[in-house]
Amino acid sequence: MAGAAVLGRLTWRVSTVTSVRDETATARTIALKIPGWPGHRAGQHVDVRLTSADGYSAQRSYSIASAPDGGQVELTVQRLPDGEVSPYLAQVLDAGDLLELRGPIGGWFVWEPAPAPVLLIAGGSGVVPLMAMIRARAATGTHSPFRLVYSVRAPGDAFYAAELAERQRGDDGLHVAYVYTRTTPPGWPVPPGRIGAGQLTAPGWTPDRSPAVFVCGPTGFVETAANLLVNAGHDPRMIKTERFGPSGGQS
Amino acid sequence: MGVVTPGWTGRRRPGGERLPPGQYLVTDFPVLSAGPTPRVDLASWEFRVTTETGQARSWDWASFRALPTERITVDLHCVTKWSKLRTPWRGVSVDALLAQVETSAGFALARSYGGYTTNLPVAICSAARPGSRSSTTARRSEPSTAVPRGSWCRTCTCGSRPSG
Repeated sequence: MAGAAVLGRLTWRVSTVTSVRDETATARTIALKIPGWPGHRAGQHVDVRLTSADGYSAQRSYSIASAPDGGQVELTVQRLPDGEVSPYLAQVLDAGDLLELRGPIGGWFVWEPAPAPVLLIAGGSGVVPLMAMIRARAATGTHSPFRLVYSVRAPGDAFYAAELAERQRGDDGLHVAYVYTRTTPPGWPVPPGRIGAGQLTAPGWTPDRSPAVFVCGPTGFVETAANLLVNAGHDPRMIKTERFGPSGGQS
Repeated sequence: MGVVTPGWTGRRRPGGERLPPGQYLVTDFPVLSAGPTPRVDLASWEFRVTTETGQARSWDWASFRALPTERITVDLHCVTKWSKLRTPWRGVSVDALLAQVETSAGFALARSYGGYTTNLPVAICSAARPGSRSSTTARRSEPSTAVPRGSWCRTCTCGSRPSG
């Protein structure tokens, strides 16, 4: 059984793009239908493979943004200015196109529905797997307290802003706090700046409540946030991290 | 060969001829850590080898650093798709450590500070095996945003290093 499951994850599948939608000026969500998809857990990712006519191929990993939903999977891809794969996915790929992928991958950075509180810390496009957790919480009717601290350069860079606002309405258990590093919305109470200790704590979110913590973002951001959390008294064993991109970067 | 992606040609980067299929080139050092960077007190740090019979040999930081070190430069191909070419390493050969114990084990379980574990054939850890040339571990570095890990072997299995 386990062997068959592993083979399934390693098998390249041909999915069909069912729709695309822009999240920001530089990021797009791609909805896929994947025949034979075994399902996934919130936080997992897939490998995507592009192949040119002469046989050259490139692979990248992308987090799944959607809650588990049969053979439907959504990815959100941030276009990197110098990227080899992401510009194609975020600008060219369209509904009806085929896309090769395999997965789901990852057994560590995942959230399973449970009553314990969950603290999510996102830097830039690191919000994607955390959004899958927020969506899975709603989809399963789980009432565990969730708090998302989401660091973006400017308001226009935030993924899922309208959906997050909508989900917060009428849900006392979900709280979203933004950190703006370059540009704030008009009238924002604090100037733009990097994430700090003050933004990682909130009433009811002290380390003694032992929330499960998921941190995802560029390497520099994750390092900063994880250190702040440990310094604040969070048990390092309760903090799971997912880092991407070159070291030193920070969203 | 996979399904051809219409309109995509890819971009073969300089140095790409040394890349295995599907890998992409990095010049920085991606950090792969499942949690916060471990904070390890050098005064209590140890490197321990335990054999299949339970025999154990350990080194504290001072005695570990007293071991002969070597420098190697190898291409690093990580299973997470990035490759870093001509990566210089300095450290202690795993062979030098295994020489201190009696073992005929076929596989090793490597355990790092921070709780990460991985298992792999002893033959891959060992430079003594033909075709396997790099095997170093552990050098000191401050935890930082760009922590290159002490490498166990050229399969890119990484362990944590002490901070100090």
